[in-house]
Amino acid sequence: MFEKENIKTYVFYILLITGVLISLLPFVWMITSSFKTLAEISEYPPSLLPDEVMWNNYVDVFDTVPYGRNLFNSFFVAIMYTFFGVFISATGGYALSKYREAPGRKLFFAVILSTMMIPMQVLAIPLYILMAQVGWINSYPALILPFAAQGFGLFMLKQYIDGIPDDLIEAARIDGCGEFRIFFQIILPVIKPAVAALGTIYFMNNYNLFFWPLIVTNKSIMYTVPVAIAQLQGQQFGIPLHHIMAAATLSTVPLIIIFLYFQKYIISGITMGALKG
Amino acid sequence: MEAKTTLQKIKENRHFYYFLVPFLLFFSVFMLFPIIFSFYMSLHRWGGLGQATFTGLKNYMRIFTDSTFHTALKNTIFMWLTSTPLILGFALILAVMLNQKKVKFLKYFRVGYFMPFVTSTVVVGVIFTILLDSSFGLVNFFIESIGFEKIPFLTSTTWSKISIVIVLTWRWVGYNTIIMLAGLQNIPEDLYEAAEIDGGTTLQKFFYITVPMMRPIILFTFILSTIGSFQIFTEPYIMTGGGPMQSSLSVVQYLYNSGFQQFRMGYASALSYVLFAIIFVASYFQIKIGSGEEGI
Repeated sequence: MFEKENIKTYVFYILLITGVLISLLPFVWMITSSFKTLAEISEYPPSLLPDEVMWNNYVDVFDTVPYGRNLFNSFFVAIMYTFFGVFISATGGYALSKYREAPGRKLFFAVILSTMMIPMQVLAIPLYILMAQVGWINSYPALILPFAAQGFGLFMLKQYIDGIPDDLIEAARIDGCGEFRIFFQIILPVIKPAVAALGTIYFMNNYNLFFWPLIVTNKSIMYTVPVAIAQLQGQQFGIPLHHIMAAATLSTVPLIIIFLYFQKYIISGITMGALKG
Repeated sequence: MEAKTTLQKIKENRHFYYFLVPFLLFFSVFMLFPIIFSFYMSLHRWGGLGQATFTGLKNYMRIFTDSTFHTALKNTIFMWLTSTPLILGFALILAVMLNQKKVKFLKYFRVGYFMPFVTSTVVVGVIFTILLDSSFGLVNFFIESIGFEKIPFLTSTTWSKISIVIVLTWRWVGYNTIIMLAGLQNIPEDLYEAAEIDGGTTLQKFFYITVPMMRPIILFTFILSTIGSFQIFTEPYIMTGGGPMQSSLSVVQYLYNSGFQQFRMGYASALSYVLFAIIFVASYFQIKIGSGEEGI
């Protein structure tokens, strides 16, 4: 009855949709579990929807841990990190791109590039000791500053600034425009798409970061969200799965909204490195 | 024209330094200094307090005979070598499917597949702890309902690693699909048209046009996956704690345990250096092999 082409199309879409369902099911499970009682989460056979919607989980999680503060920490740290990290990458990238006569330029660039592959985990021990020495354990600077200077970010913005014609800058100079004004009023507006792409990647990475905040905080009011959730999960007796699911949902929903809104930039940021590198 | 002295050049280009200083300052303090300091530390025994004792290369020697490190390394290599082909294979197939001209709802599919990457690893870990639970997990419910026995995903020494691989695959396919999709869109259309005129089948087009043209992108994603694999920490930390019996302990978790639970800072520093060396060598060879075959 079906034509061959039709069957092919059906199979094609069934495969694609199955894949999407596998990608999304854990989120659905997280959200529905966040409305279950603890007993219901560990029931067998499992049920998708809760018998009774437990809004209380969302209230109780704020009582068991300082979750409001944890959410604030995560947002505050990620926003500061993003602004600061993108800014120093933009100025640094501009310097390396447009002052080609400057002595030392090649050396600086080579050193920064050669460290691009070094993962944060390799630096964790000495950075922790450094933070402890200056008394920055459990502080915002320790959460914000250490990974702000990323070779990857500098490289990405430099690549983008390379595409801006030098004539544009020369013309501004002839008109008597100062060097800093050139950067802020000519370069920054032109590189906006790259700044937005890098910014969203920085924000997401930092908001989701676990390893470093785990090391550099040990007071619950200074935890970021991932550390707070991990601590709930790490309890020896009676892991409060219902609270964990509520906390996980609360932390994930804003991120999904941000992702849907900045989708275009995130995708361009991720593919930029691949196609040029 | 006279040759300018270096000093004159520096003066003329002083804004170069002004613009670079903020980045350079943070880069030096938080990147260069730790790299050097870490090496110094790795030659010492230090418990986090008091005086450090110089021990030369002892820490490095010890790594060679440390059986826990060997276990962690084997586990990590296992996770790398099983998850990477799965992730990249699925991603390439999915990207080719999504690249068809007449796919409907492409935007929604793309968002759906990308969602796992957006979420934090900790959240992913706690969700999968529930989904893979050996007594009440949803995955085991499916397995039982098609007539098999429940699998002790997180509590058996054989399955703990595989569970981590499942989660890694789930999380990273979408991300790599996006990269590969961008690569596919760069392949000139006429190549496929020419193949069609010559009567090439879908499979032939895939193996003789898509795969060779995608080689640089596949190499790029392979290197990213390799570097990422040797940084695995959160998934086992949350889901299994590295157990049972160290069966899912990763190199980075061993580093974390040595440094921040046993406070063997010198030894952990030496481990950091070894980890870096492994990542460096692995990606160096991949780049070498990849570009060598293309004759560059």
